Amino acid sequence: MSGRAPEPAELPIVVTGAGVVTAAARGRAAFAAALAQTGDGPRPRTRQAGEGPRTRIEGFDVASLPEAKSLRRATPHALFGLAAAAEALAEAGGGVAPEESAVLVASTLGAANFSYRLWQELVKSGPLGASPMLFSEGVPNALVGHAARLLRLLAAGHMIGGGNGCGLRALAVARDLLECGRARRALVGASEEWSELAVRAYARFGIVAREGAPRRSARGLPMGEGAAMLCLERRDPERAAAPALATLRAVESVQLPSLRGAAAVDELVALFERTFAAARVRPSDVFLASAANGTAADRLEAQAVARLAASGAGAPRGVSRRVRDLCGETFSVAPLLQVVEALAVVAAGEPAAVLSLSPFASATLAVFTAPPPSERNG
Amino acid sequence: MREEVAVTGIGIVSALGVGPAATLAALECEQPAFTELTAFDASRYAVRRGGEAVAPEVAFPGVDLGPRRLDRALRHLIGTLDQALRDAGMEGGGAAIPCAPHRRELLLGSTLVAMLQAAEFVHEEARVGPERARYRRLAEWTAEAALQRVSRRFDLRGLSLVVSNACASGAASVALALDRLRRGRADVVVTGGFDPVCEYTHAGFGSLLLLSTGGCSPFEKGREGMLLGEGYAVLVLERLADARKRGARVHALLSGGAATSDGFHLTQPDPEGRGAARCIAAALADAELAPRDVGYVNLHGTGTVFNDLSEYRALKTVFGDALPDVPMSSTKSYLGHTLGGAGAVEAVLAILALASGHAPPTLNVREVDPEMTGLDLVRSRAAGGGGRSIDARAVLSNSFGFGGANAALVFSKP
Repeated sequence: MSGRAPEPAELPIVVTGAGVVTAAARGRAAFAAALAQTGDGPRPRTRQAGEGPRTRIEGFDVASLPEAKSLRRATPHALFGLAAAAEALAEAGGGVAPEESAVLVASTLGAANFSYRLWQELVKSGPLGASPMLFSEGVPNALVGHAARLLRLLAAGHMIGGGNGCGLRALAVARDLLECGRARRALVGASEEWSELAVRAYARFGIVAREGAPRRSARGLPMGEGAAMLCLERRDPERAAAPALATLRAVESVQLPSLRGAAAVDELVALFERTFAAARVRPSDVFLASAANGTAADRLEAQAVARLAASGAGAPRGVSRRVRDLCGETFSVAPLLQVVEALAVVAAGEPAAVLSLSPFASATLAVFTAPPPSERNG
Repeated sequence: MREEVAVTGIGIVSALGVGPAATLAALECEQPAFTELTAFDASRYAVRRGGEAVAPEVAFPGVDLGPRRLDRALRHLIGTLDQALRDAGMEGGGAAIPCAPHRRELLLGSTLVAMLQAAEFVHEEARVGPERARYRRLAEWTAEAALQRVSRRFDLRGLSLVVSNACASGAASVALALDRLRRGRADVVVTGGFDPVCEYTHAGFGSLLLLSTGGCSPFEKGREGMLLGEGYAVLVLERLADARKRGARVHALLSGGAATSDGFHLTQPDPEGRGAARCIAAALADAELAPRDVGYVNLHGTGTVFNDLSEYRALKTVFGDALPDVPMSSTKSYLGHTLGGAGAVEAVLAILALASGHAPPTLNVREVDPEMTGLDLVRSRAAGGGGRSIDARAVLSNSFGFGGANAALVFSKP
């Protein structure tokens, strides 16, 4: 055994815990069970599946959250995120100092409902409409601030904004933080709350469907809400007893020229090839948690996967669209839920990839593999 | 050995002017750049002044700033990126950037992003109703839409993201960019921060009683609060070895960066400045520098009672006996608090101080808060000072924000 302590960059980055809050299920285990009942295998259009997704979280109980009383003015976005974060940290266990624990949260809409209400009040009443509560809890990083305070995550705290892929992009920067030795643990995730304003806006562009809209004319999925959080850690010897659910092998991102056309397919195929090469996995060995959401992006993904298959590299051995079948379009949360889906695949010893494709043509791909048996659980 | 990271391009627009040269000249005049606000109808508000930049079309004549329907903030951002890339010798982006498209990244900090377009939507919705309002404006509000527009404009095809860490956003994005380059994930990272003047934040900070009806007087005994401003700043970063290989001019080295959370309160800073102190100490450690190596600190210095005191205590913790030997100032006294832009704007001002050898003073300070003993606050000519010549090896820039977000950056001479 070498006497030299390993540098942070030399240690694998592993997932040591996960937490889930969705309308379909609360908790990682319940969510995995619900996914398992959703069926699998590729389907031409996600939203044609069975009973339709469960999208709205009813009667969310905050009593289990730490210092729940102090959160009485917080947004649902913050509450969902905190609940998922608490679950992920509980699974990962203690043993990491607060000053070495970072938190990175992604969101597409964040506290947009509070911002919208504050704007409406300002338009109606001018300065008298300005609410300190809406302004304070409506700042984009309110969830990060609450998580830092309540869960004692005092290393870097970042709010990452963006579309569907920002949750996976948060994984990319969290990996950097861990490898650069800025933290030993990073809680990374995404949270969204349902928004009437977002549905009105996105339904017009075919990104989400209105509830009850006639299927023939509607595009996209009904909007869902919820949160998913992962605990990432450097696998250093001091934390050998912590669970290791998966190793994050690669995460790459690219801005595509558009969601249509040969150039976009080329770029997406290149992203697949680059990421699989970085992860040192063969495409044909990988299970892919798809980004399909009933929009124009589905066709692009299908074309890229077909190209991979034809190229001799091989197509992913399985493709799942179950997350959105179950939960609807949850924007930044969906790819993190796909990661949770991937954890079940990895637990069986298989590599898994998670793809996000945003309506604004950015694509991110992450690859997870099973940790070596000796590292799975001390 | 760790890779060194170079700043090879700078773009900046604020109430002080357009570009580094104009900004430096304005700092030397020692005049605050606050005017009556025109971005919205401020007549109903108790505070009606702020630091507005000139219109984007005036700031960037001849530059394609995108469709006219884009809001002022995005048009300014595009202009500032164009300016930074030109400065780096990468005019127009794309093929002028010497690396593969997916190795060019875009990491920006902002709290509002394209909030001005959302404002137009809400006003229109109030007039014409939800069915007739134009929702395209809302689609442009999202961070993703802004990133797509900017990354396509300059062909920055790799990772792109917006960091929204309140008033520490700009500095936090630069700190993350540093890690991307050190880890070899990217070859060129375009990073920075931006935010416009906006009724939303003006009303919000007003409701929290944080705005000053007088001027902005950070660390003054009788300080009343802050004034808001708009600011856009962009840095082009690359590894020093790459910059040297292509013969690029190096403005400064980004030697260290860090971010931490207070974990104290959503809107109030930790009174003891513990999270901020950890952040400053971590940034200096990251730069492998001791406090005494720092020749100037660009303070967060908002001018609010609690914020300034918390920052002072953090500095005292980190600098200890060296505190009286390090000149410091808050440039918010010139141009206001530019929120998500502040960390990047002030990083540029710190680099300008490093390069010019001149530390700008804090304006409007007659008597420093007596609790802040040992603070070497650079005074203006009006207060018997007149800036300070410095021979600094390194400079520090602090940024703190709501949510207990802290970020600090260290720049050193190449």
